[in-house]
Amino acid sequence: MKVGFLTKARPEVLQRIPAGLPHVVAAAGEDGSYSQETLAKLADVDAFLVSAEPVHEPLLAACPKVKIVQRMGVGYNTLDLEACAKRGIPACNVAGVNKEAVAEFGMALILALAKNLREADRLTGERDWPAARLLTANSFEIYQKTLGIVGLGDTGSSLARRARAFGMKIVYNDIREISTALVEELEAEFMEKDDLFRAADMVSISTDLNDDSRGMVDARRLGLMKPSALLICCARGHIVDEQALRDALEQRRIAGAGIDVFSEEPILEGNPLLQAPNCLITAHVAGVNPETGIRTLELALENIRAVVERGEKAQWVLNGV
Amino acid sequence: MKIAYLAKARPDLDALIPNEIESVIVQSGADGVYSAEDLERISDADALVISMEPVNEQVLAACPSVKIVQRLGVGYETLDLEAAARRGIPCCNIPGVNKEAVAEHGMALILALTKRLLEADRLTRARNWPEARLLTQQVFELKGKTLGIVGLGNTGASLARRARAFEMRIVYNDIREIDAETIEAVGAQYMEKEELFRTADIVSVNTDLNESSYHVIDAEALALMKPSAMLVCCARGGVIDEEALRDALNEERIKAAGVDVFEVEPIEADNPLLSAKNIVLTSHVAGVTGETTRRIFDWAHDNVRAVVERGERPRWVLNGV
Repeated sequence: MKVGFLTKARPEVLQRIPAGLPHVVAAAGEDGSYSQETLAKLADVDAFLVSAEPVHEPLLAACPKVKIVQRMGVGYNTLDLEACAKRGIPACNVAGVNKEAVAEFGMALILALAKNLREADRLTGERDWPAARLLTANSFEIYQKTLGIVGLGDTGSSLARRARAFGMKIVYNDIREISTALVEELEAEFMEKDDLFRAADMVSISTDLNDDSRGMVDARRLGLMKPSALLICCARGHIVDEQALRDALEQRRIAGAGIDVFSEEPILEGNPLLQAPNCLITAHVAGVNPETGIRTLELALENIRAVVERGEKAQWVLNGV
Repeated sequence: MKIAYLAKARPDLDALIPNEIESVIVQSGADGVYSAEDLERISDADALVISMEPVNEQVLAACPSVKIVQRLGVGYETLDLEAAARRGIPCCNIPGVNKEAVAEHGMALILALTKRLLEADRLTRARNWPEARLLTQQVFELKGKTLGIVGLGNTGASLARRARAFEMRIVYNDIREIDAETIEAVGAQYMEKEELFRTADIVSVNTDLNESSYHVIDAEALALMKPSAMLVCCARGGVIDEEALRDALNEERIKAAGVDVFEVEPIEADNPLLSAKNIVLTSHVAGVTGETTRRIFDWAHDNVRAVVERGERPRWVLNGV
């Protein structure tokens, strides 16, 4: 069995590839296409293990032996599911593998923003004690506040469980039906999206990128939010309108934002959020840590072995194959 | 009713004192002694309301009408309880008034440290995407980790409840007997201090400052901790030997620390922690969000009115009067 790792050179990922596993590492160019040379290297692989690179028809056409396309993670917006399905190839993610990590990261952003932690640390380090103390006039308790979660899936519900322990109330929106058991456990209240943006003290975007979520957090919805509200997004780029968010932050129409994902990654020089006030930004790392990484790779490789070596049906199939 | 506020001047103080209260604000000198002029100004006060200033025989002798000494917070190490008791004056704190805020700040520090959040934000802002991603190699999940809490009182137990939602294991030490209900609610396991320091992935100090907690985190305690361990302290300055902590951090004998309180406050230029690496510092603000401050003043004024205006017994008496 030979595996094609589709990933940008990432030492932390590559060093975890098991010794003795035949593999080739490849990445697409900036335009999303693979060079002839790269395609030749990949021509005889049995499976793709995909970090954040695209999988599309030209790639599949060049690699006729591929029996499974396996994401090393949860989101799958770089995979052409239909192109895989047409060739009878299952496209899979590793559902829920990093839900705890992402939920922890979401809480980290919420708390850091509520406590003005970045400014507090900077001012204390500069020994500007009066200014550091004055920051507290704008810091707040999340106790008894309302967290609005858009997308109450694996990460959304993991975030909700943690927020509940802080005494928060949960409201949610989801385009799918959410199980009664989960809604009852969280004492979560369903709201239409606009109502949720109006009601929540913090809005967390925990949905994947789809037709419904693309561009969902735009200038109009940001305008519905309370001036004291926070926006958190550890989901995917293209859900938040970055220029509209920057404007809302600059004009103090919302109090803060914590954003881990961007329309273009790595983040581009002109990204509006680079200069936005009261905004914490991180490099699409919410779900990434060594423990999750090891677990993800193990589960992904096991799924590939099941299909390629044992002829079994894959887990977490996204495209109905 | 006239209240003397023994507090450092702060710009929001006027807004926190109701109009109908006659107020005078004084503070002691660096030596803890009040000037004769200040004592004259507070000589007809009916109550003393205390931020972090000392209340001793000198003050009490100068204010013969005082009927209650009320702390604006939980700790009371600056009050001479016996001197007040001899004069039949109750000394009161407000236990638990900021436990939610302090627990939130503790979790904010824990999460910021475990996710390397402030560095992640700095590197992402600098568009150093590769370094920002590489940071994740040092990131870890709270899930499955052990939180060691020294002092399972109001704030310690509030922290434990939140940490449990992150699927952390809780171990604790306390010099008092902790009621079974609290222990069961957070599934906490008692440990001797040495064992706690050895076991915990994160140590949080939540005790007040007393003889047994002075420098409870010293070189010896730090030497017992894992190299991967983190220390969080939102309790009181004096519980940490600051030089020992700086050395442990700079020699990478422990991984990181988050500290809100200092042996001398405001923090001085030669404070060892200012030259420590892998540390997040805040300026004794854990319990001081805008809302918490208002709640503290409201509750303090209620207690003072009960005694001075209605002749009732106050709540939260510390000195048996």
